[in-house]
Amino acid sequence: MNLLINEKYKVQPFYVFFLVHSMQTGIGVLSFQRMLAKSTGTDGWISILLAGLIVHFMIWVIYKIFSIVPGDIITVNYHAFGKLIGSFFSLLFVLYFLILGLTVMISYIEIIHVWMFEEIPAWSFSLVFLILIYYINTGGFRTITGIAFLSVLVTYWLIFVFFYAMKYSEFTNLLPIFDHSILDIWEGTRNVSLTMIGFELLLIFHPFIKDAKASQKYAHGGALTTTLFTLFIYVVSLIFYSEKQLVMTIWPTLSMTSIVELAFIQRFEYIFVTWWAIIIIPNMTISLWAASRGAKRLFNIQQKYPLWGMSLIILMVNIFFFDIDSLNILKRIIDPYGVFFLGAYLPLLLIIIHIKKKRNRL
Amino acid sequence: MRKLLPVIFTAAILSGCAQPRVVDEVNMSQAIGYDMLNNDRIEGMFVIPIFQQDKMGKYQILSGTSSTTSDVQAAVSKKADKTVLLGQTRIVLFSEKIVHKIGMTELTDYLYREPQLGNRVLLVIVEGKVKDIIHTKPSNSNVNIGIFLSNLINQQNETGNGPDTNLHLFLGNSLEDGGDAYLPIIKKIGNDLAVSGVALFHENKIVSKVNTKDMFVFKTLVQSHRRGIYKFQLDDEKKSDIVVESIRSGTSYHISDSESDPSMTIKLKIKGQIKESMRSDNLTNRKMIKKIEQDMEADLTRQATRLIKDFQKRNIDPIGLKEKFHAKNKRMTYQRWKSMYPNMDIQIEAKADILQTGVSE
Repeated sequence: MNLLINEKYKVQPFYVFFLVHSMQTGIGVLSFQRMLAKSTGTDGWISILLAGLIVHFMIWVIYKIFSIVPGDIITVNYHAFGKLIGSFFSLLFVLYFLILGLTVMISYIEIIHVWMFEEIPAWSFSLVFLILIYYINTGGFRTITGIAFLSVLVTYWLIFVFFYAMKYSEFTNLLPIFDHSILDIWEGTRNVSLTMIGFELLLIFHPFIKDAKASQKYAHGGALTTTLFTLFIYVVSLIFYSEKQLVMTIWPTLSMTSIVELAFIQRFEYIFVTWWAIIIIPNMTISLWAASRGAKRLFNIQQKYPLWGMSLIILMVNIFFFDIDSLNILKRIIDPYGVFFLGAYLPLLLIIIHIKKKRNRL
Repeated sequence: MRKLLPVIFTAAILSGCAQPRVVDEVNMSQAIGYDMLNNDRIEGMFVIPIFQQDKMGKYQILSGTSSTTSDVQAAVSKKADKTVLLGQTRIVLFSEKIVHKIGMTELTDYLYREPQLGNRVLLVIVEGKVKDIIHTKPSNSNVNIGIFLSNLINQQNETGNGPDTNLHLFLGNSLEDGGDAYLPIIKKIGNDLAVSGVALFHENKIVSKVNTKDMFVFKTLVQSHRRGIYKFQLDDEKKSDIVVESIRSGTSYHISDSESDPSMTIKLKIKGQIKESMRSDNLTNRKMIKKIEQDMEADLTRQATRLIKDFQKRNIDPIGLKEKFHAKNKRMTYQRWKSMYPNMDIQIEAKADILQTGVSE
């Protein structure tokens, strides 16, 4: 269960920033404001900061785990629980990453359907995405990192939309603050979890980082950027929408872009929705890469076979089960079950291997 | 290359999947009007430009009836050679009657739900029949009536006395408790179309209007603006008219939220320049300018107080004072606001500042 990765497949530590940040930013950013406003309203910023804090703690836990047992989550599970139970937990992670990728893809296809092309069947979009994902995956982890890096680089200009929206803002919407109970704020923290997850991919790609210890600060940097970015978007949404309107709007970030009117394009949201694909592609690619990589390590097979299998599963889901219900079920699996699993399992894992190390059983 | 081939192949096949929407192969509506017929059905009208060489501003109006606003579109498409699409709609007109019968929340539901329509769509209330307005030939024959109307409203909002409106701003106000919002009114006067005031909404219905004379004060109260024309009489023997063009305005609110005696002071600040003075005295005289400023402040305070007293009497809150109050006081509920607002002590303090007098003395 040990693994050695050839130096030539590894990436520089600072790319971890882009990997974490691009993986965290995805579908959640388009719609998290609605649920957050419902539970926490003007105090949502506290929930976001709290969620950011938890993410930082989790990243610290992950790095701590790997400083005791070098390798990836499959190695750690094996050392902590033995072959049978360890493999079971590893399989759970593989499933989780697969569902994560599937959820991102279906959510995005749903957006394309609602906003642009309602008549194109879902499977055709997913076919294009899957071929692209497979193509990127054949390039190996370095190519994937490159895609994540590029996607962050070429999408940041979209931020101008939020400054544009400020023209129609009402700043009193930010007040009153401290109007909600601790329970409300905790509920809000749960509601932002979908925008905050993504850092856990570290569990799989950690061995692919050159000088992995040095990369911790970049991982924290990526998570911090996501937190601040989420906070910024939430504040802009609060002042742009009135509270009732925000709760009613399914994709507040997208609806906000439809206020933009440029001299050469009247309806900017169409650019925004299509450009968002560049943000979504690394999300799907990294999740599927992680899932197939996990399967490869578990069953000792070539990575392309699980990738084919997973692509087929995703395609089948898109052909037979594509509707709002299945999307809701998938989102349910990720949040709360996936999120709670991560939140409980990783600290537990750290404690277990810490004890084992103390007893010199590692 | 072998790996790339299937990608290119599927891309080529998939591009045939989507319905193409070429500009001259669809009916692209630029304005929509909704009227209420006597048998309680909705008549919808779509202004659709016709693209032909050398024929600028040619357009047709398609209309149909149904019982819901979105279904009108289907009814109209039945009669047209091409489907009607809404992507370029800039303005939606509602008659007073339809708002009274159906209510604004129900009417705007479809507009907000439909992703084809942007948030910037203008909403306008029509005094009289929408049909008469939409069938008016615009004085500028290069544009169609839809573009004409949307330009008219936009121009008024940017440089005239009309308060900023669009679908997004309207919904933001009208979805709050009480649903206090406002929209411009258009009226046909003779052969001309003109903005004739602002309609004030409360709980889904039009409850009051601000007439054109008060629109400057109303605009100053609801937003900070950059342009606006204000005419008032100087308080001397001759009662001469002075016209001031505002350059900048701002409002600030001072709230005392005591349980027994809540009160509020609204401070208006206007910086402007003198556009016209119906007076023979020269204006470079500092004393004269001071006098104009003072009289303008007094007049503004009087007008604004009158408007607000009227709002309080009707228990409507188009200015959004409730939100200002809630921002200060967390325990504020809508029920309490409703009972408190009509008797609340609201003071206006206006501050006028004349920056320049134009190029002549």
